[in-house]
Amino acid sequence: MKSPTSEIPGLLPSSETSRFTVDGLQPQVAVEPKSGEEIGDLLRLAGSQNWGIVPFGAGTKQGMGNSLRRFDVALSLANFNRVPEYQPEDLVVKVESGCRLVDLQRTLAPDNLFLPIDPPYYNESTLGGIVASNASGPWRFAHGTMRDFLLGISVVQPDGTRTKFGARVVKNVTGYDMCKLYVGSFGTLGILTDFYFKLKPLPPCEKTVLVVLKGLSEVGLALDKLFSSPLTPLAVELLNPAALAVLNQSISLTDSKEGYSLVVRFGEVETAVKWQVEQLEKLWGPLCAKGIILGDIVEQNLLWEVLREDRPYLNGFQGSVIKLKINGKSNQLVELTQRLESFKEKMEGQVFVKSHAGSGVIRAFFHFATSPVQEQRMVTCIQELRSHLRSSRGSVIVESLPLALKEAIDVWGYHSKDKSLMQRIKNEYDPQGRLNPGRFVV
Amino acid sequence: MNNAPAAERGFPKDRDEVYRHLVSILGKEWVLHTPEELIVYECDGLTLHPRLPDFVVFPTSTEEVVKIVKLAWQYKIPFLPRGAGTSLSGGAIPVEGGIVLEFSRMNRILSIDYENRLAVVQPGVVNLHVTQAAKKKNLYYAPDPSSQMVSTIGGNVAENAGGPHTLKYGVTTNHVTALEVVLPDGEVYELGTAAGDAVGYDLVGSFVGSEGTFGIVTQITVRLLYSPPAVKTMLAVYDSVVDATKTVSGIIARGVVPAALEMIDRNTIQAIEASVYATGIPKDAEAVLLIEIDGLEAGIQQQMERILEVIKANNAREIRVAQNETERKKLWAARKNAFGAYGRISANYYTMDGVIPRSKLPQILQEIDDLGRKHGLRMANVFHAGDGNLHPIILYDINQPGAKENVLALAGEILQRCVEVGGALSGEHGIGLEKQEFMSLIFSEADLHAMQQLKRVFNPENLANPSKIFPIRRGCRELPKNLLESSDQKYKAYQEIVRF
Repeated sequence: MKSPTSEIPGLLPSSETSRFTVDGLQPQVAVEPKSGEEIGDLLRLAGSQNWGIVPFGAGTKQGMGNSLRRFDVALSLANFNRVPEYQPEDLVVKVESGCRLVDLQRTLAPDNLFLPIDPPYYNESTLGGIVASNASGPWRFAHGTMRDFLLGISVVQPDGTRTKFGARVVKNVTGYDMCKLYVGSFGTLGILTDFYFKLKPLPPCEKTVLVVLKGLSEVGLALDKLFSSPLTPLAVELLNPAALAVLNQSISLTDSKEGYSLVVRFGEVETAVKWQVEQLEKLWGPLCAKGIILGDIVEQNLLWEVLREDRPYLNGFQGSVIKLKINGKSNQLVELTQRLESFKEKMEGQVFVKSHAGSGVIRAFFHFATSPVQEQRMVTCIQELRSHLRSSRGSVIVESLPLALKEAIDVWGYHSKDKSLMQRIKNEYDPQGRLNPGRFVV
Repeated sequence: MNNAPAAERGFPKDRDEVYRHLVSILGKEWVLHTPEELIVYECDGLTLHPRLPDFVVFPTSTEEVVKIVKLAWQYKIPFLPRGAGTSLSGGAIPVEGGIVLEFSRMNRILSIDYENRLAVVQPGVVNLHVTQAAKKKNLYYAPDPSSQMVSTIGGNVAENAGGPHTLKYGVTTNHVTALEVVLPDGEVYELGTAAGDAVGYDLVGSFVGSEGTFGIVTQITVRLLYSPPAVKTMLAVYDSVVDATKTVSGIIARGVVPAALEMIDRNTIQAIEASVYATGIPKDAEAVLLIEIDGLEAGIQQQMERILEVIKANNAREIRVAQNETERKKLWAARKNAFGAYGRISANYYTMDGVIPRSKLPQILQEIDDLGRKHGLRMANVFHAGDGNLHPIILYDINQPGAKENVLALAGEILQRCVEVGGALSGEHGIGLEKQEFMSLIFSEADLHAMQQLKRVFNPENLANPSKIFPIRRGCRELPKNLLESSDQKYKAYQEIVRF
């Protein structure tokens, strides 16, 4: 690093840099700016010095994406942790990007409001990280994803200019919908400093139903019945037997060792919840080996925490772990689950599958012995899956993998024609490629 | 970016040559080029600033669109898409002339996938037709702009259209999963996916609401929803606007999200009651709220009771609850026919679209009233109160000297106040030609520059719907002068045509 470090705004002591390791790489410096102005100064300095910058929230998703081409500065948004504007009666909140989701929810709860997003790493993730990675969880079935909640955004552009888009209103077509551009942009287009979000009222009553079904054909039938009924669940999750076993280790709900599990959550006024649970019993009763209804909110939250988190499926195993996010059409769920499980034999390992049914999003965790042969098999499996999904414009993203494999696996695997447009967007806003160099699709 | 008007780019000197090319692509019948034929396309729902296109063409396929757009690219001619022409912000007005691609022949619903709840449609499909086609399996397309009986999905996508029921269900962008587009260089791209989340930047989200300035949408995949089995509609009459607005924030604050929450003010009530659309609302009422909730039969009563409590607590003088579909339609009739009714009490009216934080409703409604009085203009308001999306309507007579200047001055002051309380210029009508000079009220130069960068990615030669959205004049705090120039000063080519 050529420039004298005293010029760098918000510089942290060098003892702190190890906190910001990404894929085994340590940055030359870590900074923790206090204002948008300081971020602007930093980015201008970075431009003249040709630094590569990685924005940091809680760092829970820093393992995602390709290996960084350059990593000079870690830009922590820890000082951007406030909720500067909140008017409960507008159902809108302004939050800074370094604020943790869980802290925001605590601010909103007394007014019976919440931001309906429940991604993995719920308790650590910052809103900046969730927006940048477009993270989502089971609630997406009823509520959608970040793109449906982001109303306004402040962005420090790669050249240091400060910009803002949108407003604190729930409906807005004043100029281009720039918010959408930043959702899921993985910190490659600018530094996001604050957001306006649309909020929703907390459901007055909630119930969760967990059923165990014998096989995948029953799962298919059960989902058909549910989705062609008027029922309005908040979330519908499918677990394969291995994933169900993990759930049972954390909270012993069933003694079933075999079978697939569907977990459904309802949340509305009490009469509507009660009626829906009854209806579901009628629809699914004949198909189920076992069913449990949870009414206690503490118990429900415990269950949903294990369902939504990655950790129980990533940690505490021997060997290598790979996590995939598979995007397919919602009616491909059963067939894709089957396909994923068939990899088990090829891999001589274990496959945990949990899916947001009805949204077409599947999360699969592969555990296998660390060996070049196994790794090559894994690469082949991913390629097979990708070519299978190509015709429906589905995709496979490798969200977590052993570092040694990063060079061998194309983590995004995206090669459609519109990738050239994405490249043009990146070049337009960050022509020198300063932000998260090499990390994203383009 | 090439911001030069078309005339300076060498058009229309090749006019005849371009005409011959267009005819070879589509046949003579489907290329309009004489002033008499083109006059229909000189404006859309915004009638203040007409401008004739050079050609209107009627493609039937993506391939034909590609050929037309490539031709425009080759000759550097501006072009823009047009659906039903219902835009209220001038989205479909060819400000710089050029080619208008009219989509009435690309009006097929290509497929409905009931299992995945998706429909793939061409841009010329009428909004309501999607719902009608999906009805047999209890599915529907949620965004419902008031123009839904005529406006097209292509137009809805370009403008990111809203509607009364977007309070609960969101606007167009929340329901579009994938697009096929033709960019100004003639290349076809598929954006987004109906299979889970798309990888990379959200190009669909960026494209929706770009008002035709990025290129042409030729195919749209939309999400369908299951029709809620139960609907309850009620109407509450108030003696005070403040009580009505307090009801709005009271309902939202109690955690109930109605499907629709509309407000009608005194002047509108009087216009409706004096017209053939009269529904028996007391003429001396100050405000009416139209509230609709939907959901499951099992929960709807409980929801309604919560709302009725709020209505009663805020001194409503009369409450009507529709007991059946006929009564429901009757309650909605007042809202839906308001615009027709204005015609009876005023020669002309101008509809605005500012949006504000809901909690500012009482304050801003009062201020709008005061501003109208200051300018000596009558105002009416019928709007989406639940999302804070105002539709102040300025009633005027174009034949009064200075009327247009006065109306635009008032409009500017109203928008300024909307922005000052944290709102924005448009909730659902778009910026287009109408509000471009007001953009600097809300955005800095840097913000506008960043938006222009996105435009440059898709439309580098500025051929797709040019001279829209962005201010043309700098430092436009004062009244936008270009909007005041009379249209025939702006283009003198076809003065001889009688307009009616």
